[in-house]
Amino acid sequence: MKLGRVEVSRGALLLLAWLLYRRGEGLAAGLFAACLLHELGHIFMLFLMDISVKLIYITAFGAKICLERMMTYPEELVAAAAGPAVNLLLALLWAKRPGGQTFAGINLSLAIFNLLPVGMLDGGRLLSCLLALWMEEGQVWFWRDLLERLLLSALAGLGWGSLLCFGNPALLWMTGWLWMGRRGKNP
Amino acid sequence: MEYQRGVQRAPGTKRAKRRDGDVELLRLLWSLALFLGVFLGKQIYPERVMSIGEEVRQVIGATVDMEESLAALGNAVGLHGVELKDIGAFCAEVFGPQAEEISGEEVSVSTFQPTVIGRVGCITDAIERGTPALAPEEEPPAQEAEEASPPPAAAVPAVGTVMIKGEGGSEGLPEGYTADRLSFGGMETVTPVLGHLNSGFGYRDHPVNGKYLFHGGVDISGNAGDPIRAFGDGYVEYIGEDASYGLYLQLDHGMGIKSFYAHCKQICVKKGQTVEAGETVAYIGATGRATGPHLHLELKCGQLRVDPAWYVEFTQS
Repeated sequence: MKLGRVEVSRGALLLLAWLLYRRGEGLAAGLFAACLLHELGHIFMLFLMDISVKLIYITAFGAKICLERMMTYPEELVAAAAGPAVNLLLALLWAKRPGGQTFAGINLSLAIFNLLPVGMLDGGRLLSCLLALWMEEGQVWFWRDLLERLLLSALAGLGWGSLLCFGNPALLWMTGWLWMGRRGKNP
Repeated sequence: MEYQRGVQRAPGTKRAKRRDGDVELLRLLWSLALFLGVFLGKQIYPERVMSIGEEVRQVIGATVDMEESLAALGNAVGLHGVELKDIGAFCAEVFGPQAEEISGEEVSVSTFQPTVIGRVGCITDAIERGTPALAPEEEPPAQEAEEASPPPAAAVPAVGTVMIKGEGGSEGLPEGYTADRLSFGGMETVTPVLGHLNSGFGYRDHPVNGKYLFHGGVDISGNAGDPIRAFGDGYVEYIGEDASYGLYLQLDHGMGIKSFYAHCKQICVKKGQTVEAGETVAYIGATGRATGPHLHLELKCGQLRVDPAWYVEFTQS
């Protein structure tokens, strides 16, 4: 479905329908709001830097923003940091409000998750930009790939440990998802 | 050349477009069927859908109460900002060992009745035994209660002293709960809401999925908007809201004694405010997971949750 410069995938529509059906029960509404504000953080920063957005593609797993032109590394650094920064700010603000603890927790965990230096996440983009600022382009990919593999291997190890020792597969699921999506988004 | 290619490609493009359209329609119908399936399924067979959901949660390891973990994380941020140890604790909770699932706000008849065995003038090791793993909020250690032992010879037994043994002891109860009547050290107490005991402390069958679950407090019936009075002197430790407890608050009465009130319609005190026994702190409501207006009351002594039925009065019926 396409509305102007925003395109929404069927999966996301289904998710939205489910959210409306649940009428904000449970964590879903908070998570949705946190993700929305996260993406708005990116878009707002792009707007501040006067980079026009060609298309925003919203899927059930997140939003992909296509731009009119390529960003320079410092620009991308700022734009990528804006999303988690919004969540961090929200976490600090809502933690003080009565009844806002859950939303604060959602925001903080979302910020931390997005700051993981892995492929498609904001942390991954931050890492490549930072690396690109002080080494040659060719080397960036090598180091980034290495760091990613190290981190994911460590997470996978911990995930297996958690599954075998405690019977909790959550970390392994998450690592698998990160691994699969590693090559999903190109900077 | 250009023109010809255009002509040749035209039928193919059209066909491809139509196929795309079919796929689109098919996907849309499939989504609709899926959504209707879940929607109708939940209306007609709520129990079956709930139990399927439960099984799926078991398989994907989503048995951790994310809401509680997230709320605890947010709470920690509110108390002292973003700290690594809180994030670590959160990760450990979500990815580490899973706590036994205990919840329950459900209405049914209490399964055990405490019986009077007599006064026992000793401190049980139960106070040290309690773990806050199941508590939705962090509990300070029961230092005051432990320091109070051995009990003084005075007429008032120290806080945490077992006054009356609960029937069957506390063996069958989850960690951190006791069926015993513990001494509150002569503290002046008030019944927060005088009403009928809807659901007691202990195990009961879950009315929805039929599971045998634990209820860590008492449900007292009342009318929406009736005042909830403070159980004792103290201060408002926290106020919060979530999907299961609705609007809730906890009072700290000192000496490790705390009272927790859930499903409130409205709270009329502020966090940190000092309250006197009997002062109206909130109004009865049905917020959160509740089938009707009632007060869900929990009492804590140190790290143990006690049966509120020992300390408050109910109307008989």
